[in-house]
Amino acid sequence: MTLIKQYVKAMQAQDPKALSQLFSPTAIFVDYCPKDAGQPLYHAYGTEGIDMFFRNRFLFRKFEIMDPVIVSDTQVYYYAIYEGYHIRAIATIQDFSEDGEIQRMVVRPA
Amino acid sequence: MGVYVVTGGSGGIGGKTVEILRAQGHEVINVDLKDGDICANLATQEGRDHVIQTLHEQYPDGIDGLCCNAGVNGTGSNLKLIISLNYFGAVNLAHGLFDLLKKKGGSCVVISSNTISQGAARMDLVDMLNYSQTKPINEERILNIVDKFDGTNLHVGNSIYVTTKYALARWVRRVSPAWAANGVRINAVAPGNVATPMTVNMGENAKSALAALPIPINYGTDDLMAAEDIANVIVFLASPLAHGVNGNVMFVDGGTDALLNSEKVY
Repeated sequence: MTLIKQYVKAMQAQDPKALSQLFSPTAIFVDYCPKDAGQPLYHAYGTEGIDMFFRNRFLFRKFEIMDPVIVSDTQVYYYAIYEGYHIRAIATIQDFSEDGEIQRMVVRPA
Repeated sequence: MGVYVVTGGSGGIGGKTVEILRAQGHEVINVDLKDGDICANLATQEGRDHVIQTLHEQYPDGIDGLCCNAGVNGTGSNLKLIISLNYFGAVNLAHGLFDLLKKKGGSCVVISSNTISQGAARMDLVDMLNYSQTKPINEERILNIVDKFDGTNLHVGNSIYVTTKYALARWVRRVSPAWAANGVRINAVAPGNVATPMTVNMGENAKSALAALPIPINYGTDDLMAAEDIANVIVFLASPLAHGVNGNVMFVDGGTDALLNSEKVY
């Protein structure tokens, strides 16, 4: 299964541990969409940071995705829901680590 | 050695603060509902007045430090108690002891919470609290408003708790320049989730909420912050070593706030 498919699966399952394991220990996850919802952008660094960050988001039901459409091995469109605020987003894997994990992922309004 | 007043010093963060200060050789007065050197209910104006009067009688030359630590969390159903104890129990007491702090160039440390960065505070009530100053009629007005809320709803209780802690932090920021100009430093500590008698008796819902606020220094465990971690910072801020620190809201949460709000640099 490609990384982007695993990413979608972990997001839909709201599984922070599975999600974080897709990222390298020095990975950067940035999501600019929350700014459109009047919230600070999401920024998480490293496997453990991504795990803890999304554990908070998922447990407090602050974030979920809906209707994902994978368009390539590095990109997926979905509706991102930030505390009830729906934004059409595109998530892009911009870089991979030497071990084939996600090194940098950026999510922007689509 | 100095004279330090700690509220809520019979256990938890306050208890550790008392322990550390006493180990350093300071004279410490624990103000608490039970087992205090001065027993008083800081949720009431009568209780605060009793403490203020007693300390003025016993320490007319002043005090070196005040730690406003007494408080309750948001899991109880008594919303009025959260307001009266957490906010007015700290602010009114600090105002009442300001002259004693001024006499010795002392320092005040107020306990806020790292939840203030989570966006759950009711800013309308924060404004009312900060506007109220120490007038009893203003406290009564806010209590009447809160009395209409559903205290059995955990979200409401948490929101009121965060509201008091946010208002405390902003009050510290607002008064700090003038207090410092009078020789009294004042800072706030914003702890993360700490293992205290309050957290031990929490229900499952509250424990679930705690799990959603990861503590990076305790990654991979269910451990909460140790009360000693917070108390050490309180003692530092109250000490002359922190002479350059004033009007600061210091997060002592093992990195939770940085995790969830990395973009808020200032």
